[in-house]
Amino acid sequence: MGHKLGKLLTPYLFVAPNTLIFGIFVVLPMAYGLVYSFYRGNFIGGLQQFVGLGNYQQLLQDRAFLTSLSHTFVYVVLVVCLVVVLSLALAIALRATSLGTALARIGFYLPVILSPVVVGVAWRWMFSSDLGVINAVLSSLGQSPIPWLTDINWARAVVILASVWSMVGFYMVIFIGGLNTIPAELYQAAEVDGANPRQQFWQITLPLLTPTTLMVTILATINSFKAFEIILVLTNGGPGDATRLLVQNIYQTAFEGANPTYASAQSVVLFGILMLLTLVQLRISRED
Amino acid sequence: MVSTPPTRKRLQNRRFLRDALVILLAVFFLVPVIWVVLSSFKPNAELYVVPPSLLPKEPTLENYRMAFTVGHFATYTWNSFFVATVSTLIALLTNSMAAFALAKYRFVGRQALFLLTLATIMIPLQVIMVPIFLVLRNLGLTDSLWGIIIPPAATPTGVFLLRQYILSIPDEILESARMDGASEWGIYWRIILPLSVPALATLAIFSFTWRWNDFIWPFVVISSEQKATLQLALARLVGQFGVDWSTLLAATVITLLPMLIVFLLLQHYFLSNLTAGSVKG
Repeated sequence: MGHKLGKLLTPYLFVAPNTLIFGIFVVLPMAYGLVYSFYRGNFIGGLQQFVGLGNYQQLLQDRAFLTSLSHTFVYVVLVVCLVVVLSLALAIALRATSLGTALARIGFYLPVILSPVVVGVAWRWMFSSDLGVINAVLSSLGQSPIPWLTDINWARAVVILASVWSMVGFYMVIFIGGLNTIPAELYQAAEVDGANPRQQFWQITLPLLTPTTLMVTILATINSFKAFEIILVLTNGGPGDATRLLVQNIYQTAFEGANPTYASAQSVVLFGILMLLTLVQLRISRED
Repeated sequence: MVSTPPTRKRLQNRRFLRDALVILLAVFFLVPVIWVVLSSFKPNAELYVVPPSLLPKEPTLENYRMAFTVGHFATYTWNSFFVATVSTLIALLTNSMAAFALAKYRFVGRQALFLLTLATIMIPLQVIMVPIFLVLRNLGLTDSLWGIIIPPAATPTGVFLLRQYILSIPDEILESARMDGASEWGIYWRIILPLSVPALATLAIFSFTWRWNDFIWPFVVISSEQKATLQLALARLVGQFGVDWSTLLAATVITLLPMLIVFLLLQHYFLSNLTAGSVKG
């Protein structure tokens, strides 16, 4: 009898440690966050007053939140477009296997393994207005230096470029995998029929690569919505709030503004966006 | 112009040209990293010379010495190593145990547990960073290295990867071990784990790099200076008014060096298609 019970319990004992960590540090906080978003309160006194959808109504008129949200959307669109185009271009350029392409793949992938903080520091060092190598090159060419990180538009451009730089290698590898699934005979046949490389790209590569392209687009979109660290280090959201995105706004609302309940409502909005995107992703990968 | 059919020689030349071109492009792409590394060996005064020289004129390790002594980067390096290593060991153990049960046992709630694991992928840290701070505070884990070691150890990616792998281990092996009187734990420890070494190695590499590069966890959890990880210390250095670039650049190289070594030694793990599609984190 005891033996049988033990046998019944075995799988549960095996999953217990992992499930416990999941439960305490992912599921519980998620539930907490949802409950918090319907309350008013702070870190010291805890939950103080149930406000229903009050926090969410406040969000609709909150200039700081709406600005960070619209900045995030613009950032995501630009980053994703650049990432998709550039990683596909790299994948096509490096799809052949040779020593040169192998080394180049390592080079283009390298930023992916760097931490976002390191990426931020490296770009800040390069684009520093007084000490940066970019401005030094500009002035040696007789151009006047550019205030990269203190001008609104330049700061946005640098933030986007740094993000793209840190991501393209990852998606390049996915695209190379997609390219390898296209049968080589198709290209041979097209060549026999006299199709030039450009026609081959539009008629063969791009259509057959559609599932991969969709997957890359959605993954890059999800990752871009979560952007925070690179920007924190590069511009700290500035100048003003020009590069402050959603996650930074959540962080500042919670920990600098000491308003965890209101920040929780913002987190729920972010979660909604990410869940929608993930559902689309699951849909696509099932159709594969 | 009349085009001649490409001879072997011309094809070879074209390949060589293409290889040289793509390597050149990759080097250009890496200028931000290369420039940090080169600058980190320049003496303080040389960092402020305009225009800067490409190579340090008087290369020095002084910045590194300063970072390790005055900047306390020896402590931060140890903290990062400790966190990444212990968290990875916990992940290997708990993920493989869960993966074994999900792959090889039939039990009530298995499907639900599997879906829960799947669902947690949708919940990134960015979404729960506020409530997780409250949970950790209630458990007395704020400003403790354990607060950044334990929570991320239950990686859903790890459970998936290992489950897929363990599914491919034939049931007959487990059955014959049971016939010979092996306990369930013995089966996991002496059969499943040794047979899963390739998958465990993959998870170990990824888990170590994730934990080494983690920033939001320590940013939210750690407040005191001695408990900072490299990433946190680096971000704090940048945040200071009037950045001390000489220390910061050396500290950046210290932070990126282990990842660079791991990547260059094990690049096929990162560049293979097997794991490329897996979710980061």
